[in-house]
Amino acid sequence: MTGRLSGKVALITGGGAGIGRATARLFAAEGAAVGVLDVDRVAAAQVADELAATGGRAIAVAANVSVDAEVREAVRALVESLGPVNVLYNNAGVASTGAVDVADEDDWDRCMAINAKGTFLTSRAVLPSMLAAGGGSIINQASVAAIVGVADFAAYCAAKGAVLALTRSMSVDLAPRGIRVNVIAPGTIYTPMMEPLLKARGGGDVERGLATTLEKYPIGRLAQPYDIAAAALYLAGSESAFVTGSVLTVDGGMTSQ
Amino acid sequence: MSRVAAVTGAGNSIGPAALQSLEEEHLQVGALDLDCGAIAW
Repeated sequence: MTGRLSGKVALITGGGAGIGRATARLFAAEGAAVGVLDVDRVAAAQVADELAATGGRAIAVAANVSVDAEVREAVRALVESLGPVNVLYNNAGVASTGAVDVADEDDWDRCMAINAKGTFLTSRAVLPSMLAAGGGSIINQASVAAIVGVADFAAYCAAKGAVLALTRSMSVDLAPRGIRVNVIAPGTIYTPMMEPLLKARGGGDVERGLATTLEKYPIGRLAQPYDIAAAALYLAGSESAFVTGSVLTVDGGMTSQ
Repeated sequence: MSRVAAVTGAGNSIGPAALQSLEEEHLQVGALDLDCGAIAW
């Protein structure tokens, strides 16, 4: 590793598992001090402990990103411990299955709250310290579902579409103030979050759902969390200094068809 | 059989024009708005 994030403080939401955990590991390996935020306090602590054990600076903070008071407290604790946030990765997300005629209202609300509102609330909470630090990079997490329609995924498509549009809005507002805002649109990764969708897609069989999903990927495999973490590293660091408002698809060609 | 159309947000902006267009096409139109009084027939 080459210290591409040396001296930076990064906050990663949903940092306790999947893409978030892979990104926390990569950012720490590149020299960042990492705030691992997760609704699962134990998972966040395990990741932070792992980073600290390998020589990194990391703390765990627990919060539901859709609850403003929890987010503010988590950010306050992070800034107090590690300093102003230079990089925010709004990665926390939940899936929701169902076409629009069968989608559950509570599920819809939860999906919008975690994916879309959570991005808003966490960004808002981080901005004062980021601005005080002279700028930074915000990376939002959308999905291929923000770009193309994915069957039986109505609420998720809507929520990730909101994140994509919010990113463009934020990039315009914040560029003059020294903050870049970009969004990653990952293709399917086999994480715990995806299991309900894969199960539904496979008629109750996760393996069949995986095979059906794989057919949509020209590159011949699904993504690994590291694939997305590497994209986040690019957007976090100075190599992307002129990049803002961009949608970076990391999808093995899924949306190119 | 006549066709039935539903228009949400029918009370202002694009809504009234949409109602008028649909009626001109002889559709039966259901108009929905948070403010019922704003819907002009």
